Amino acid sequence: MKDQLFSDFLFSLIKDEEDRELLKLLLEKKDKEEIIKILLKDKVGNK
Amino acid sequence: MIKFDYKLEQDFKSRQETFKPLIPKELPDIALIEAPNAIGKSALLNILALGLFGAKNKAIHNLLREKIRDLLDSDSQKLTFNFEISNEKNNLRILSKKSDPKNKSISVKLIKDGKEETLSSETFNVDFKLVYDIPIEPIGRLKGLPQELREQQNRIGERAMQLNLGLGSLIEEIKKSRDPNLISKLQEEKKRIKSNLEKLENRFKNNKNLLFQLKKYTYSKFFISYQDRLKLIRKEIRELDKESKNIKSEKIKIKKEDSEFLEMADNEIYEIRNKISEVFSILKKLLPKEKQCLEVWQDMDVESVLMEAEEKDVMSKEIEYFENKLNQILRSQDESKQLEASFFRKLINLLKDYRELNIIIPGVKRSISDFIEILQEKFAPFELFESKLDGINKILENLDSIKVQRDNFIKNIAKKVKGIKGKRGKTILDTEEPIVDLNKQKIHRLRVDEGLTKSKAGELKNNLIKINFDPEGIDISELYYSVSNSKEIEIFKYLGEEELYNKINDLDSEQKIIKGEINKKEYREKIIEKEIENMKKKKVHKYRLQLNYIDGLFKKTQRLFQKIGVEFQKNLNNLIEQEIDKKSLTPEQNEYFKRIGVYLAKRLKVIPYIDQEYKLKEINVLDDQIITDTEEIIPFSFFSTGQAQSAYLKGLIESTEGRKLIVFLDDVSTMDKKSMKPIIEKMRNLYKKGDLVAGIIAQKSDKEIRVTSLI
Repeated sequence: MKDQLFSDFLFSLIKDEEDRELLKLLLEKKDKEEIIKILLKDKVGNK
Repeated sequence: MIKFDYKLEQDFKSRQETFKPLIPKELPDIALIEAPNAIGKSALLNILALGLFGAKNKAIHNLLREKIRDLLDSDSQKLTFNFEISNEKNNLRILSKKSDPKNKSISVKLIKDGKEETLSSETFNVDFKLVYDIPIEPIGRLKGLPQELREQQNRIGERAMQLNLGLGSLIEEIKKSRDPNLISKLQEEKKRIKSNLEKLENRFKNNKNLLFQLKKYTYSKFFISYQDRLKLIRKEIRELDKESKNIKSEKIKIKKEDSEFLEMADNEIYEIRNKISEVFSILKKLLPKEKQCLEVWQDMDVESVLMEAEEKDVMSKEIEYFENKLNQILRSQDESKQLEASFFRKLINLLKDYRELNIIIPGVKRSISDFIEILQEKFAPFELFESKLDGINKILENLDSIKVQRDNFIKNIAKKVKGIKGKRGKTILDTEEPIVDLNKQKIHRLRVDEGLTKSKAGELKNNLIKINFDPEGIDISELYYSVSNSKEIEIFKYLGEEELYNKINDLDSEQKIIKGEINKKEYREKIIEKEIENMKKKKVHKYRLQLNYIDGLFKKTQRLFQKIGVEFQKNLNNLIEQEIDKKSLTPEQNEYFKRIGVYLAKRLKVIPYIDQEYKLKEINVLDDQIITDTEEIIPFSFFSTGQAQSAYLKGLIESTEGRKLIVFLDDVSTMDKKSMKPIIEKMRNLYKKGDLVAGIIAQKSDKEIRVTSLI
């Protein structure tokens, strides 16, 4: 769904690995709730 | 398929005209409309763009956007329309309708896979990308390619910000939810406060008792002392009175300055005598075994000793003796104990100045007032020790001061006094000095002293009454005797009058502070109880244990937004507004513009120039140049209008960002077939892949209206 050229452009500028993870989600998903859910998906089980 | 109909009424003041479509109302998915001017090509594209939220679409050139907005805003025209864009490949239909000419509202619906959904500008732009363009200043707009990038970049920046806000709200939610850690921390704090409260209350109670004892001791001691002194003064006055009546020889004629000198000498004697008596009361406590020496000290006839002016007299010997004894005591004290006591006292005094500060002391993790409590407990065993040392030092100071005054007296005063008094009885005829009665002079001074002493005794009497011991009804000596033997008073017995009053004041102030502390702690205890109660009513948030992780994410998204949404956007804005000073760019900014150049080159891939196509390596947006894969550099200005427009349009439709494209291109007559070819091919490819839903290219023609399908 994402524009690969645009993604490559941003990835070429964001070097930090953790920031790139987040950027990947921002490029793939539009909805913040969905992104938060993904980010916390594996975390709830660790209670 | 694009099906449409519209009615546009325009009011030209002198006449009114109604426009309806002259172009066929059904168009293929990608249509080329060729027609002469004033047939309604632009009107159709403006209406279609309006029906697809073009009036708010910042990616559309200002000139076109104004025309789209005019359709709605102008008072001189009334518009109704209805159109449908359907695309089989995507199994979707977009229906847009404006049925009321007076009302600006437009209804836009999407029917996809049989499901109907009403679209807003925001939801439309999530799934669709409307490209509406007209060749205007094509070379200048080649430079404007980054504008498209700005929109995309802004969207990601916005998403980062939205995600950041979402995480912020989540953090707030978690913080407001039940926090088991906070509950146990609050419970611990409550426990600590309770224990501190107990300590404070005990301290308050003990201090209250101590203060009472101290007042009893101080007031009774000095009441008795002033009463005794009063008796002595009165006795002396009586004796002097008697002497004055019996002997008349004390009347002498002397000079005024001699008379003043005698008065000064008398005052000196009086002062030394008072100091001796003050020192005696404490020496008695410090050196109880030295009875004989103490008796000599107490019974010493100060005036006679001073007037005899011997180099080694009883006073100097006694002072030397006591000084030696007291220094011996000082030397025998444990030095490390002295240091420890001094450390605690100084630390407590320092902390007391900051007790109002609401800080927790690192290491001990206690508030200042709690820490003072702990230190005071530690200091308690040193109190008597310190008080004794202070008493010794004070007495040594006083002895030294007596010694200095005595030395001065015998050296500079005694001889002269003897000289003046030697004139007693002699008549000095050649002077007119007044007759001075030495006895009367002494009596006068004693009367003044009597008044002061009486007033002091009166004050002390009032103080005693305030603590319920009226000297009229109670034996104050008995009171003093009983209180001076109490254990609490032990630490104060080496203190002089002034120090004792200071102690009373200090204790009074401390009591007020302790009371304030107690009130504060009781209030905090209530607040904590309430907080625990409220917290217990809440539910635990499912992400409670992930709070730190979420907090980390919050910071990361903030950083990312700052980078993409602020820093990168600022760079792009400056580039678009041509406000870049190439010389002052940071390495990061240079890197950014370089990346833009590579990105745009990848988007355009090839560019027609003169009679061939060049593969692109980079578009240097700072220098307005194109760099080919063979390292040829072609400035933007070398491109013809059609070539530049072609490159620009290709750039526009090249990026879909996962959205479905709808492309309207108006008046492409400035572009020749060669320049149009890559655009049409691109549109066709996108259509085949299902990425282009509909497209219309309008071109001026002098012939009849002709619609051609470009599929």
